[in-house]
Amino acid sequence: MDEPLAELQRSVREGIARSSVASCEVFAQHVDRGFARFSRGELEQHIAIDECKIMARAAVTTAEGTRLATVLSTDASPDAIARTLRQAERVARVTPVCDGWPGFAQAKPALSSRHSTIEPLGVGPRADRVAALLGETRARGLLAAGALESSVQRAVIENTEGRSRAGITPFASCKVFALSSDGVSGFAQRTTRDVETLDGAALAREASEKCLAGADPMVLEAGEYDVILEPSAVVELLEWLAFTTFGAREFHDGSSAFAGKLGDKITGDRITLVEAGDAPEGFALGFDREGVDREPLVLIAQGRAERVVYDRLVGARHGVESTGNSAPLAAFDDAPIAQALTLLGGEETVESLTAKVSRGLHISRFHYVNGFLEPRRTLMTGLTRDGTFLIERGERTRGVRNMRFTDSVFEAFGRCEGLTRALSAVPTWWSESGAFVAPTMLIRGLRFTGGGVEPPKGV
Amino acid sequence: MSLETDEAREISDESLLALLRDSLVWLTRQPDVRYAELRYVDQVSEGIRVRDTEVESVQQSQSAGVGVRVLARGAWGFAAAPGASEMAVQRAARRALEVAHASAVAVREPVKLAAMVAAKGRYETPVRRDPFAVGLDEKLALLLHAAQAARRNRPQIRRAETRMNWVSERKILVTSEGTETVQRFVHGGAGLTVHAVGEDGTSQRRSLPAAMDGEVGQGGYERVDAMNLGEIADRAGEESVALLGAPKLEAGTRTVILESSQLALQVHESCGHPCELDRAMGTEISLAGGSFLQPSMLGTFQYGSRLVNLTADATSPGGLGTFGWDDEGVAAGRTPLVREGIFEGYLSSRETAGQLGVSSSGAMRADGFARAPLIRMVNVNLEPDPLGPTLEELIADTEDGIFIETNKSWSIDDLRLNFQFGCELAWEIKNGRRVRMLRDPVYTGITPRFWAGCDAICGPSDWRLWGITMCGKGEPMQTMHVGHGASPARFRGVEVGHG
Repeated sequence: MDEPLAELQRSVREGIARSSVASCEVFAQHVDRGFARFSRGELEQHIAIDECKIMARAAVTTAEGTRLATVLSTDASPDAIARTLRQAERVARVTPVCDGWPGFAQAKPALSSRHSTIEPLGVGPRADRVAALLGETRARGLLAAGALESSVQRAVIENTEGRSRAGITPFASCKVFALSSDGVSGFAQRTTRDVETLDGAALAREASEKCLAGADPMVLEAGEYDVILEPSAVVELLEWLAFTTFGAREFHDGSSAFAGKLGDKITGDRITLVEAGDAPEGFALGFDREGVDREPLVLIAQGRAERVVYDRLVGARHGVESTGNSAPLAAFDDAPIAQALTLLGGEETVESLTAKVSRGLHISRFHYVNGFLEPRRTLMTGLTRDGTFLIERGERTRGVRNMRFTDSVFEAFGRCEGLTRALSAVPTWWSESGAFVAPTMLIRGLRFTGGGVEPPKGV
Repeated sequence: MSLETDEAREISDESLLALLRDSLVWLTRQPDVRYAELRYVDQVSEGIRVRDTEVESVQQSQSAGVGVRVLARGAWGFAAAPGASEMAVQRAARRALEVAHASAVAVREPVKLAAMVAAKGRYETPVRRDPFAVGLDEKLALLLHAAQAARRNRPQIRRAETRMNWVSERKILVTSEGTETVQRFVHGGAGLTVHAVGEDGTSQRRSLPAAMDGEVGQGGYERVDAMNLGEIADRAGEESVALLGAPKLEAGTRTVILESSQLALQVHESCGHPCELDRAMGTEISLAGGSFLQPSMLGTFQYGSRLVNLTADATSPGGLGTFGWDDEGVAAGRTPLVREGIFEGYLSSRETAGQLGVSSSGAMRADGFARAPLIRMVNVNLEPDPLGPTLEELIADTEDGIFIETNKSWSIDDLRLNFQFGCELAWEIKNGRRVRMLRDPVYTGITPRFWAGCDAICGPSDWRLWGITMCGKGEPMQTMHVGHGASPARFRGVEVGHG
């Protein structure tokens, strides 16, 4: 085993042993995070952080039932873990009984991890790569903004029932925005496990080409437009579906668009969505923070609602096994959530999809989508950003000012008329070093409720 | 090996200051270091969530560590390490210097820091009742009672969630320019959300006193003692059920009155963010975006009507954006952002202010020890009209309009121009009276046109200071707690509907 991972595991085991807490569990996560942000054509923020998060849970069982509490900390030393567990036990003693608590996961052999350790880029090489991509955009008369991340997450879960899991997820991501002096931008990104395959200069060229192609953007009126959505745009919609639709809590309380509809057709035939577990193209650990192994789950099969995701407690309350989807530490809410979605692709290419559009829009990504408008309808709103183009007679012809869409995503996906074979991973904002995977897609008649806006003079 | 978090919290301010000074001395002896700051932060927090009759979670967290920012060879470097040992501080200092040195290859413009007077002193949140000394049983009893009050005799309610959060934080800053500050903050509060589902499967929710965390601010448990959470829960339950049978707000152009907490979010998104100077200068493009408010517009751009006065105020009592000094040691102050409708100023840092040749507004704040400070909102307040009406007088003065309450969704473009907000509840106003409840209200607009339509702001008696705890910015993501004060206000010619 990788030595830092083994050390983290030893520390957790020693902490549990030293705590003398009879029933407990520790999830420990260490991220060696290197992050370089650039803007205005230079490196502006460069950080190197050792981040450690410990989630200690203790259960206290009496004749009335089991009481449960959680304490988080940032110290992975055995004594600190022991102290954190004892604090969790103290808190648990004064909490009410947790109905339906199934106990911590029992011992079970681990599925072997397929992922080898890949060391993150050092400080110097990170800066050098940023300098190279900045040069690419500068050579085209543009300024670059963006970020280069190279990190490694190590995670361990151990409990007093003997459950034990340990894993590593290397993560590298680069996104580049090429910006012209008149405020037009182009965007390119790539996310991978292996930082050596990340070509920042190529991304800078791709973003620059988009920026230059979008010069002198026109203003379009609101209305319905056929759209080509690149993977970054698709993933932003999937993130919100994960947040509002696929979790068991929302499903059972009736606020999810899946509520009462399992087995029903809820969107288009071309839509098959998988929570991909430990898939090589995904980025999730092979287990969740409760030590439950993740296996692929089909959430939507050819447009039919198939299932939702559970953690151990919500699963036990509804007589269902956990799917390994307990909330990650970075989540805002302690409720089960999809963390490794893959929208399966089709047979098309971006060019063949574009050829099917007589008049429409090519959208690189969305900005500030919000899915809380009417979650039962998957009604969402958001804006286009960093590369929106008019398509005329099957060809991208010119740039378009950003526009606002407001539409039901399941209804829009119901009008999907093609998906590319090629898939791309796109980072999500609540999974630690996580990403969703999606193809480029063609949707007919996406509803835009806000046309383009010319910024005030001076921008 | 780093010290345990709770051990770190036992270390005296003076010992920590001495620890930080030692590494600061080492850093300042390095030949090319122009500036260095070391920031120790320890934090304890408690979050309680109740769902119906069950305690969904009781979660405590604690963290302690040091973040070091260094300016060397013209480039910034930042590094952080958990713990409060000499080894942890030294390691962070050495790594920050290493990062700065490496970064010099990709930096073109030398950093200019706006001048400031070295700060020395202490700040502490006034607390009458320490929330961490209040028993968990008392907190749980209150939250369980409120959840039950929301559900009482209302079978349509599928979920009643009540929540309470508290944070205690100590922050110690030393810089190479002589700043030494010690600050202790306590903040928190409570709120609830009720979800109702109708027979036809439609779903509505009601959150009070405000969306997200409820009513939160700086202070102790006296904040919760002053709330009547049971009464609030009963109202939320009643309104969530009533919304199931309410008609939807139809699309059109209407006169709109925004309730204070929704107006606070409107200020946050359409004034606070575009007034962040880093956004305006383009250094946040990679995540949050830019700003339509450019430096060339200062002093001339008509942001809103003459009634509109917006102030960044880090001194508002009880505000989540209130402090003694920011994370560069700049003293808390008041900065006019919009005065009588004209765009006047920015939230800024020493570096960005230096580029404009002005003083920093004192808005650099970091989320914990492990993140570099960024320009963040403090309390960005819409000033009340000193002679303005009360809310009821404003409604009585409105012939035909919509009164909109409590945020449900928010979305705005990367320049902060084109916004859309969804809210939980609206009342149609006819001839100065609320006549019927409407569900799923949505309104949309373009920032300066919307604020130009503001023709009335209520007076000081209706002004309330709200807290937002989850303002996201930066990479890796940082969440910040900020404050917004507002009285209800009226806007003409607003597009509604489109949901």
